[in-house]
Amino acid sequence: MVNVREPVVNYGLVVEPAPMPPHIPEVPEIGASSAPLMSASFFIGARCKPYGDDYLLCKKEANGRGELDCLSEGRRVTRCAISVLSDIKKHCAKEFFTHWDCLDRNELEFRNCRPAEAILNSCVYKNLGLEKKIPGTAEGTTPIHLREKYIYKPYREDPASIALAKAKASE
Amino acid sequence: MKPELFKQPFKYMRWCAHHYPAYFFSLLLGFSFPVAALAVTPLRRKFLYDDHIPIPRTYPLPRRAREPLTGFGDDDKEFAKYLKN
Repeated sequence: MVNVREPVVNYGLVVEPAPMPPHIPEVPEIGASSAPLMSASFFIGARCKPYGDDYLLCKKEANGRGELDCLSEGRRVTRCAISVLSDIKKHCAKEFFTHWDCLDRNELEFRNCRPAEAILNSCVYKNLGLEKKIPGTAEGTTPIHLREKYIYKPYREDPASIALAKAKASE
Repeated sequence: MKPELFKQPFKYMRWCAHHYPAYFFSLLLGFSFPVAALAVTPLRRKFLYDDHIPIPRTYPLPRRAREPLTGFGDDDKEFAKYLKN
């Protein structure tokens, strides 16, 4: 008989062996796994690009001591990402969940979840004003996420996102 | 009657294509591939579409000095509202 055990995570038992010193201000964890981060990535980039650039310019200026000297810039990057995820959860919770759940089930590939992505993009643009822009898209070409026809078809159609698209269309 | 190569090159090639098709077409393909290998990419760039911008291998760092930023600092009191959802 195979030993079957329910997976349990008890954060009460997890102890940080080397906590940050008390004089360094606290910053919360983002608290998202890879699928939600992937789903929100272009919106995080749209809002937090100045902070991310500033952090990496600081690290370049610090000349090897960036991990110590740029802690406050790093905290700003974390807080900015948290703000984007929090806003998306507040205004587009259902669309966001549909998209990242689809990504999670389909190998974290954007091409497998285009219907859900279109709904999420329009919702986020309407409510937060953040737009997905792929850097380096050649001029005069339609970005990949706005194309009607695809060379590479999705691995499999996601039933939840198609159902959400139908529900949105009938509204 | 066999045509002469240097007087009537196209007729000679047609004669070869009929009398020695295996040699003729294998030589034709063999000579056309090096030419295509050199010519196709420049012609594609000129007439069809350009190369794509190389994908960055690391964070594309902007070439500018740092600018002072506001928001999301350690003393930002507005940030607490994001932690409620």
